[in-house]
Amino acid sequence: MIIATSQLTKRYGNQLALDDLALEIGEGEVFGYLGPNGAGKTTTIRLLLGFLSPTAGSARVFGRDAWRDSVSIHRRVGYVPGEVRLYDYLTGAELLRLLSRLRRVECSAQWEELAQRLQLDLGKRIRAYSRGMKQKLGLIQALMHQPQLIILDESTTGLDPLMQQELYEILRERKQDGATVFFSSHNLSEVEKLCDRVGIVRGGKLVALESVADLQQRKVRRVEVVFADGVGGAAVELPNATLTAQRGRHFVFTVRGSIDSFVKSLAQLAVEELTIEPPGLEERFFEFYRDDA
Amino acid sequence: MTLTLISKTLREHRATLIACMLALVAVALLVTLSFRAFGKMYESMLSVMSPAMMTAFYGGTLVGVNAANGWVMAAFVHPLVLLVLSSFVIAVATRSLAGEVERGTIDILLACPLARAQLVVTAAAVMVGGLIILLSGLFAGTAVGAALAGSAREVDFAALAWLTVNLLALFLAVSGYSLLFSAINNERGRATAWSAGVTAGSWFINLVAELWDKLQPLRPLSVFHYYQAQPVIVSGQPSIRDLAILCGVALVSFAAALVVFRRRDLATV
Repeated sequence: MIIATSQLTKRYGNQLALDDLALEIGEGEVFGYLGPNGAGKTTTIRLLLGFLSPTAGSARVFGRDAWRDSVSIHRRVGYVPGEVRLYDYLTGAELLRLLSRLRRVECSAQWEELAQRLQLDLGKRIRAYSRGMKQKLGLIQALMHQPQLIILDESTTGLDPLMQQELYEILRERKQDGATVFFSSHNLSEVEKLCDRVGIVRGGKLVALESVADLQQRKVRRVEVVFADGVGGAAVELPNATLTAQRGRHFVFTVRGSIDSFVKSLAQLAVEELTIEPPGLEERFFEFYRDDA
Repeated sequence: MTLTLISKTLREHRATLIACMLALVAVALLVTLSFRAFGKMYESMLSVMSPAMMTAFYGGTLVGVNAANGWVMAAFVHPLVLLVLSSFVIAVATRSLAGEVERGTIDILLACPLARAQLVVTAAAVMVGGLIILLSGLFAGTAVGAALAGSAREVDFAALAWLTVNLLALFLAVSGYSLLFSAINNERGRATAWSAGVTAGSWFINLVAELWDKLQPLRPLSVFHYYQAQPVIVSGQPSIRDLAILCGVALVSFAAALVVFRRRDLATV
């Protein structure tokens, strides 16, 4: 196992930040770690990196204790914090040179390639970078030394959609090379695109741990339909759908799982307007939490 | 400790180091050069200072100390010199640990294979190195100023060198507890306030205790109590006890900073 935690618990005074976390992540796996803000995602990551000491339980990375052996673990880890904060008096290239020297690894070819792919000018002072550019620089410093474990803490925030796609592509390539990715996010859709398995944390507790395939079976969509006159009654019986609101001919459904049978049944009815939305994040989380609570 | 970390830390404090160096050299030159204009008034100036006031600033009365030595000593106890040296060590100490945590840059730094102890030792090394450079500047400025003022032959430079060593020991102690406060805190401002407060309080207690008997018992608690210029200049050697106490405070504080910073949780602010 690349990451293994057992009864991992962290308290800040009376506040329980992480409760009894048991997690195993294997080599080459892309693991999505989902949860709303304050759920315990960053606390988990900081425990894995040895920035925090556990109140109880253990966290092991590459078979070593994350707190005691953090220096040797960090040789093989790349980490991007949620909010990338860097030495703004340096240029991008100077920062990468500093970090590669601290790592005692020559990786200028890798950082140049990554900068090209992420379209980042390394010659500018970091203080002149936008938030997205800092995020890119954070990603480059985490990836440049070809780490065996990549830990990303909500790292796509601030990247434009094209750069997000490029990052996903880079991570897929790293996975093919055998790297493990721990991908913390509160964005379910990006986790679906990228990850093999997903853990959902809420209030410091792991409330779900499942494969993305299983997750997709439990997807929930919001569908709005305006029917022609006289079909309102039939609409209530649509497969996989729960009627959540109705105003005259305007129906709002929540569709769980496959939408195929729902759409096929709907096609039998006279529809004036149809809107199928990916549900809001809160609604999705709520669904998961309600099911697992 | 790595050379890369030291060069990064030095780069961050380059401007502060240069500014402090210029300030110290300027004070040393101004004080010693003023001997040419006011040196003849030395005796009459001593007559208007109370012995207690002299002891408070110099650690002993200047009566019997030759004018040139008495004059250069003023540069070594000058509040501006003490302020500049304090500012330098507090700036390095607080930016290196609490400052890194506050800015969040500690995450990127410690994600590298670096032991936390390396950060503490690097900060200590930069403070010690910086102090040696600054005090060399103070000493050199005093020597040049004395030469220009025509008082160099009368100045006991060997004794002045020992006084410089004593001053180094004093600011090693200030560096030590400032680094400890930095290791404890998540916010640079708070670490700076603690360090500056203790240093200013310590200086004040040492000064006022000489003038107000009721505070005398507190004087040994002040690090400035162990930096007495007059006895060093008069005897030509420092008090081994004073040096040992100051170095002891420095070593214990550095060790405590090391232990605290290695064991504490690092949560960004």
